[in-house]
Amino acid sequence: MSDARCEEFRELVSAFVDERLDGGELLRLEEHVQACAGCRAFEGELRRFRGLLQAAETFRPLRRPPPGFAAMVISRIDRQPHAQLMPFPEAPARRRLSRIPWISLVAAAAAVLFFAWSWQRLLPVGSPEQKIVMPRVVQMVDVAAAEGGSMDIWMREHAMRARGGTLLGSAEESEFARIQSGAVPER
Amino acid sequence: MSVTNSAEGMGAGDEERQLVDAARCGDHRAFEALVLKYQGRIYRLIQRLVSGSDIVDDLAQEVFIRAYRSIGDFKGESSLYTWLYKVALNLCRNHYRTRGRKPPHEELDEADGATGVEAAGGTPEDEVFRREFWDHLRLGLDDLPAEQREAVVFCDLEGMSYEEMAGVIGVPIGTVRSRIFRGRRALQERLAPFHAASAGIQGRST
Repeated sequence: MSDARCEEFRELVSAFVDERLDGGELLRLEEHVQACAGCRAFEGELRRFRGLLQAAETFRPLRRPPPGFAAMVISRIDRQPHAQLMPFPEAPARRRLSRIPWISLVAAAAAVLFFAWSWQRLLPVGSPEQKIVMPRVVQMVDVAAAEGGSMDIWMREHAMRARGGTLLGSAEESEFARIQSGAVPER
Repeated sequence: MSVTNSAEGMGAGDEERQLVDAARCGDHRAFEALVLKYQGRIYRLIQRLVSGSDIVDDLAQEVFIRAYRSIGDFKGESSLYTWLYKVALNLCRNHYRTRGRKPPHEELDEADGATGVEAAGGTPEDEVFRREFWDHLRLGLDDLPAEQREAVVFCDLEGMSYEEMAGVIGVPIGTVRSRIFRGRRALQERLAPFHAASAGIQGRST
């Protein structure tokens, strides 16, 4: 009998010892065990081993809760605010990441600067569009850097306008039109 | 709510449901009654899953405190004790993760077994065997992958059914069966030197 086949049957033996085997699997195991002395021996070893495991706790009995255990639990529930009821922190790797919020701030600032830079590069140098847009970009970058969270709003607006076929918002568009028509001097 | 009076004349399941409902409403006495009912089982489970007696009190208290905080999540679809086992299992897993991989023998303190060896009785040779077997069993359990350790503890020490284990661990029954087998076999290999000597000792101690 090959080892690989016995390996498969020994998992069935383990389930058989737990009385969790029936139907086709039980028939297959019975047939195999009749021909395999190794698996027959394994069943006996496994049963003895389980007995030994269970007896081990009589060798060295487990401790019982100390007197007043339940009262101690209630006292802690009474005493502690919810935030302090977490003495066992999450896994170290996850904790370490959550403890460095500056990484996300740096990433946010870098993303804002990159978008601003790539946007202004799309416009011809010295063009009226660039002259209108650049101060706005600089202002938005300043605001985004100061507020952090506003960056995603700015990015959403930017994406929306790009989908609409223009990089300019309505205010910039009308100002651009006024400049082109010569209604107001360029800034 | 008067827990004592209302519990009279009810079945154990009804009584427990009423205690759970009362605990949900913030009745600390009702929750204390639940702690009293399950503290022994939770205490034993933690000692079986985690080595080191110094941490058992803290972990056991934490199980019940977390259970109190989230008792609103207990829908009564499983028994309360399997739900408490889930809470305990998660805490023990966190404990293993956060303590790192300390050599387990550092945590096998004298308090773990000083009374147990005396209580078992027998000859000095039996006592030596028992102490060594216990230490090797504890080390062997600690060395198992977590999922195999949990499977062996739940099945062979807690006596849980495959269905209960699948519910607590959150895996299919086929996975439970396979983890039990692999865990048993790894532990069996580790404790092989004790097999031959075990028959006589077991006979004398029971």
